[in-house]
Amino acid sequence: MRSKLVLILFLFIAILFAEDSEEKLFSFEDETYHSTELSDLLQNIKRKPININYADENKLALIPWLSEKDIKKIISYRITDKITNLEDLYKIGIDAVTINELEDYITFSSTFDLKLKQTSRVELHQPKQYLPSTLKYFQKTIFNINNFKFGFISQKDEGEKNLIDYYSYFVEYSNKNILRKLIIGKYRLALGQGILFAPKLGMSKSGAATSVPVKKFNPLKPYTSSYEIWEMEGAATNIKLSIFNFVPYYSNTAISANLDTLKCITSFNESGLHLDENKKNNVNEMIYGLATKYTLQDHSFGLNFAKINFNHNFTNHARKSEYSAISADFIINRNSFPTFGEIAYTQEKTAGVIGCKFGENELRHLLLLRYYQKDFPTWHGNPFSSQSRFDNEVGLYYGMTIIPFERTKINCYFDIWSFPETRYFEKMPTVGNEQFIQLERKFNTNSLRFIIQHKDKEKYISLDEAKIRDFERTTFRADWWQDINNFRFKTRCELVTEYLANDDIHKNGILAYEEIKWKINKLTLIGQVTVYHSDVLHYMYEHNVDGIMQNSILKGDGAYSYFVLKYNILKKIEIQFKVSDHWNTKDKMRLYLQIVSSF
Amino acid sequence: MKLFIIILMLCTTLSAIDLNLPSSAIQNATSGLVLILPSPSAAKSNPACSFTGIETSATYLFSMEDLPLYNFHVQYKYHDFGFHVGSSFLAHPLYKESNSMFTLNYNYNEFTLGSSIRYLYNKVEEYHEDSALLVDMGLLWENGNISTGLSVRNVTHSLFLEEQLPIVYLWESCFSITQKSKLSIGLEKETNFDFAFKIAGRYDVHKVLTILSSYQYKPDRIGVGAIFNLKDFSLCYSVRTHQYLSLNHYISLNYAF
Repeated sequence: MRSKLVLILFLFIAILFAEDSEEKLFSFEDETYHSTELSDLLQNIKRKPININYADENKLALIPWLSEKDIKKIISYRITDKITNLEDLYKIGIDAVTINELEDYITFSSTFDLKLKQTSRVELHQPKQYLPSTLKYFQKTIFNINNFKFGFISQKDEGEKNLIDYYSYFVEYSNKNILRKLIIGKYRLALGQGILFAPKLGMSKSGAATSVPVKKFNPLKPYTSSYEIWEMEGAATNIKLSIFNFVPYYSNTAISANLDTLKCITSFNESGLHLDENKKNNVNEMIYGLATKYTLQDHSFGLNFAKINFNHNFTNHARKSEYSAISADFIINRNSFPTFGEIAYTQEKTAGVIGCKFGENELRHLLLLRYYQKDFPTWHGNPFSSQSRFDNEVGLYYGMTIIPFERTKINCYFDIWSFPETRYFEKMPTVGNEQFIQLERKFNTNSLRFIIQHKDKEKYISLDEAKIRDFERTTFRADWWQDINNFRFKTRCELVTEYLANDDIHKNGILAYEEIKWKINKLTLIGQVTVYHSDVLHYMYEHNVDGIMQNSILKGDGAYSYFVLKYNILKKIEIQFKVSDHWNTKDKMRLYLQIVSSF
Repeated sequence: MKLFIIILMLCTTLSAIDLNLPSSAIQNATSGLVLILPSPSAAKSNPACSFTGIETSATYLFSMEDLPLYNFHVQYKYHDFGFHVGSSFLAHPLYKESNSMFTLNYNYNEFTLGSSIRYLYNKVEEYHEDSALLVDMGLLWENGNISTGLSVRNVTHSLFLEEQLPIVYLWESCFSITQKSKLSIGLEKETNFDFAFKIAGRYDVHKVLTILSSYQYKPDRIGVGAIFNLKDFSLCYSVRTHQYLSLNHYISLNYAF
């Protein structure tokens, strides 16, 4: 019996050992199998990354680097927010090593990604003269559905009767394949340095003396601006074939122009105000063309052909109602010596801009030469120039950025231009020049900026006198920012002088303001009080509800103030409110209310 | 060879007039600032500037073909002493102006002191012909990355046709921002003119290419130039704006020995 028990025990042990060895053998095979399987799985995931926002728990578990804890964190975060990038994962609490491994295997975009952004804005103020309606209304609605974008924008200015006096619409399709972008509806074109096509509101000169004058455009965008002019209407697409981009475009739109008795165009209505319905959209403009671009890593060359046709002649016979235009542009980014430019030809007139940047971080230079022949059509263009109508201008710009010490930056530019032929009412050539020096110094919680700007130009003061006047304007400005906890204080003091040399007339003005910005969580409050005592015009950019660039013009003696409130509700809706008032003028209080909803 | 050129220059009929014109393409590009890129002709603006070499330049003033201006300058350094002779000649069928000079400067530690004697000659056909002798003085202080120069031209208040010739004061400070970049600022005051503020930048893109740019305030001018260096030779081409007249193109050839 004892021997039987020993035998059974032996057999049992033998079986145990036998099972163990079999298990080990099986495990080895399983690992091999598993390793191949895992490799295949990862390759499959890499080919079709897992959507981190929509994948269920089981699907997320397929990603080998995600622990159960990580998956739970992701799922709980997704309930209230969307994960849009790798940084969000880090915020959730997933460690950097894991995030690094995940990068190729996950995606953030949804299979059905629907976004909506709706902006509604009303502006109200008491005008100096009677108008049938003082309400100014603007709305912009943009839907995003995967690669599609749909937009509708409408606007009514004060005095206009129709609530949809102006509207813009578009359907945009974009992807990363051959058909990069297709827009049907209203759009804007921007090519090269902007001689033929460019957004009109872009700046030419600023404190960024060596960067702003260089135009770097996205060639094709939907027209979403509230400015009721300069848009194109029809269809345009951006096709990318290897290193070539092709942008064919077609536009047929109505624009508002001032016509003379012979129905010839004297000028375009650039204000967007349509108080007289007869003058609204009274001229038809048709444009079609093709822009091509050859892009390599450090340089690009573009060629653009456009055909433009207005259904009315121009009063100025030098301008044709039907013409072709051609332009060529380039950017060569070689080493630290990039050069760029564009040359355009139309109606037997030439326009060109060429520039180069050189230097190092501590001392950078920009030289820019422009030459635009008289009566070169400027309607859709906005290249570098001293003013918005750039034809008949020749000039040379020299900008410098100097960093003499850490946290100290000096930007200066010098611009010289001339109008070699007559323009407007000026019956002889005129010249002008401008100097700008800006010194910035940043401290830990403080920043200081000093600006000296001097402009000297020849111009007519009145139509009665056939004499060109020399006009000088000099601005001294000091800005001081201070950050204290959630508050930002900005103090400005500005002194402006104007001098008419021919008549020895001096004018001057002083302006000072204090601005306080307080931001805490979802609430932003901005308040500003400005006082001024001036015989000249002061131009002052001020905060506003989003989407409005406001430049207040102040003159005389008085005070001006405004208050802005922005409050975010559940991250989806933001209410923006502004009230502004001139204390001493008849121009009454102005109110803005804007609601921005994003879903 | 060097000695021959110096003797030749001294023996040449020295003829010039004291117009405040750039004496080389480099100075045309730098609006008359000389410390940012010294060349033999710099001694004309500041006699304390010392740079061994030969430089010849030519331009049609403001692109007017009947107004050619030629310059020739030689400078040589011997121990702490520098010697310079130079001449510029403005040739018009009816109007001739020339300006020739001899400069001596002495360097002591960080300081260089220099002085020039200039002979001015002017002839307007069937109108007048006269000459004058002028003295210019200059001081240069070089300290690390900063060099500062001050010069006064016509310290003797010399007369020409019984009229006083212009006295020109030029102050300039040049900063080496990096090994490749320099920045120079200066102020110039000429009799009967306002102060002219000048700023110039230099960037050595490559050992064979240097870019110069400058701005002058009142009268407003922008100057741009490129220098191509080939061993001891350098060729400079520059342009400078004028608000009412055409561009002033300038070309210089420089040999450093």
